Amino acid sequence: MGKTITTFHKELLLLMRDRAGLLMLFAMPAVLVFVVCLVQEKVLDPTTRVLVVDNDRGVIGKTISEGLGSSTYINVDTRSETGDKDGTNAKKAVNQGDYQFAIVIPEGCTEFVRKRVESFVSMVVTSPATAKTADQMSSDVGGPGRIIVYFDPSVQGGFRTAIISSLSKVLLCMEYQIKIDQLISLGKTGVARFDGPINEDAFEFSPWLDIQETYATEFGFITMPTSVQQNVPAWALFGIFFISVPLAGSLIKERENKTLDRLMSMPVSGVTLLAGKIGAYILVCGVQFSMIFLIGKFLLPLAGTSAFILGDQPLAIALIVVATTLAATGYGIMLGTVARTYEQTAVLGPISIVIAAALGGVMVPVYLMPEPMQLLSNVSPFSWALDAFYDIFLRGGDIHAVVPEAASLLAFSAITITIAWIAMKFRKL
Amino acid sequence: MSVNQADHILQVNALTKCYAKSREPAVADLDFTVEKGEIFGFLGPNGAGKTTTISIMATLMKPTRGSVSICGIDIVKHPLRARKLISLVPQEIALYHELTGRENLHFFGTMYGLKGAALEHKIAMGLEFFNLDSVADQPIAHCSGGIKRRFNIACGILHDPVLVFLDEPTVGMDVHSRNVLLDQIQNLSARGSTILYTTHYMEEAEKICSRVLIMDKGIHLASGPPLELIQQSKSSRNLGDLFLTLTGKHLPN
Repeated sequence: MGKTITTFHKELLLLMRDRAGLLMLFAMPAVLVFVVCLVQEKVLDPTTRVLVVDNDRGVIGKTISEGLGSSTYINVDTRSETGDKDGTNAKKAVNQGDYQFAIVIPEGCTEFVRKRVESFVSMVVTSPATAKTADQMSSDVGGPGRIIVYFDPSVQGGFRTAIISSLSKVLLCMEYQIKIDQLISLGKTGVARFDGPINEDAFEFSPWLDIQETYATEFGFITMPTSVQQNVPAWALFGIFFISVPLAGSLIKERENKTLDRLMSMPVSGVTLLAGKIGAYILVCGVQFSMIFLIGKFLLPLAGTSAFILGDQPLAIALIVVATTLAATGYGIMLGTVARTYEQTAVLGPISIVIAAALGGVMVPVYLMPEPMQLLSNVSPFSWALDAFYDIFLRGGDIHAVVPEAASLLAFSAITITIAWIAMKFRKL
Repeated sequence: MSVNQADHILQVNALTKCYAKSREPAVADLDFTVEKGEIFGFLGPNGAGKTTTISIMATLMKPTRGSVSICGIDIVKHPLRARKLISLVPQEIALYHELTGRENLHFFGTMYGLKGAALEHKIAMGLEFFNLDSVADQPIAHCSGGIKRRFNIACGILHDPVLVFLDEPTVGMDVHSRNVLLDQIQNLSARGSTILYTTHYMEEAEKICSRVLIMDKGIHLASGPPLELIQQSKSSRNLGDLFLTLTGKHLPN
């Protein structure tokens, strides 16, 4: 144990005195997370493409299309053919990136509104004592009161809210317009006479149509990902994996200056040396990860973004951080053993990490990638770790939900260390 | 174990090493012994098989054939037991350059199994023995070449090894520093350590080694006390001449 602790201490001292390495480990991911979050927060396509699937083919679809189409920056494409009642094709079109969002208006929506109007009129002219409540009316009318909006996941939170709010406004205006028209009509025709008191309950606000917003992905998110919620764990993972570069470098140095030979001729097992080394790197990664999370929670909001939400699954997060660190150290050990020179490591290490990060969804989230790339991303440990964070932060998962990803990361670590061991044995032959 | 065997600190029998990618063996049927308290010169040109032999003796590599025992312990069967008795001091400065000399001593001392007051005592003795007290808290990277070489050896003798493999310990040093280090190596031997010493400097081997072994292309060419070997060869005035006669190769200056 003493030898492990001494090795652990030695590795920490070496890391702390390697200023360039420390700068790479801490400053690089810190700057990246800050810049990328800000950049993605501001990026917005000035022209928004919207698909309106009008299964109702009544006044509502027309009103929504006209309402949204009045904006210079929104191109509305309306489909009124039947055959996409549940919005599957619309969702696919958004998922493919053809539209930023799609509005699916269910069949019978206008009929539903007409019944609501009748109920409204009946409510207005009926004495409060005998009139039905708004809830009873809704219950009586029944039917499809829900409009579904599928969003492209790249649509940022603020814009998404603006769209939903505009849609609500269009529907609300339409509702009031209908109500007013009906009241005027009643007055003109004299069908109803307002001898008694008007039932004021009829004017209580109770939206006729519900809007359900959802992501056009198969990723099962229950919380909408934001730039911060995506980038903070992504770049923290990037930082963790970068630790394999100084680790590989230190192994090459030990091999080149024969410190490794010296160590291997001592009465100490390789496992002890490895445990001390890996322990030190786990500690450093833990500090690094905490720092990135703190930036997301406290520093980024000062720059105008939303704050990073850590959630209530610290054990699940810790499991993934440790498993990722072990995967990164395994990769570093393999790199340091397979590469012949320090220069090879210095080139191969960062390049392979950046490629794996890009594939794994650090730069562009996997759910925004084309389908072939999504398949390819499965080979990247970044993808496993990020998916585990999606489980925790976006899908409401607990520690059990991330066990498969943690197992994959640990298996990656075991495989890379085995390759390193074989390479070391092979070199000695 | 016979009395004779017990006196041998190192016994090498028919040692052979063949590398997978090479037709010729790197070491072929090498036999020699090293006695207690000796400074044994292990000489040969580049490619002679010295590094391979030392790697096997230091338990870093397994032989293809033959055996090596240290104080009667078979190093192939019991590498961990053998490692407690030996110390490998590579030609390179095999230290952590970002750490101070004292931190390196502490680390390597712990790896040899020392701890607590015993470790601190050994560190103090090592610093004193090699006259390193004044630079103990400097990072190795900031030390001169001579100081680095002394720390390199100091880190290898903290646990009082029975057998020390010193690989070219004076390479690249100025004359004064080299003489100081040679005195210290002789003092180390006087304290009871047995030293297997490789060098390209024949005058060094002649000066401090009680016996030498000259090998080339993995084959044992000659062995014995330097003066005896020189006298046996009529054309050689010194060990350098003998080396040239036996190997046909000049050693680099």
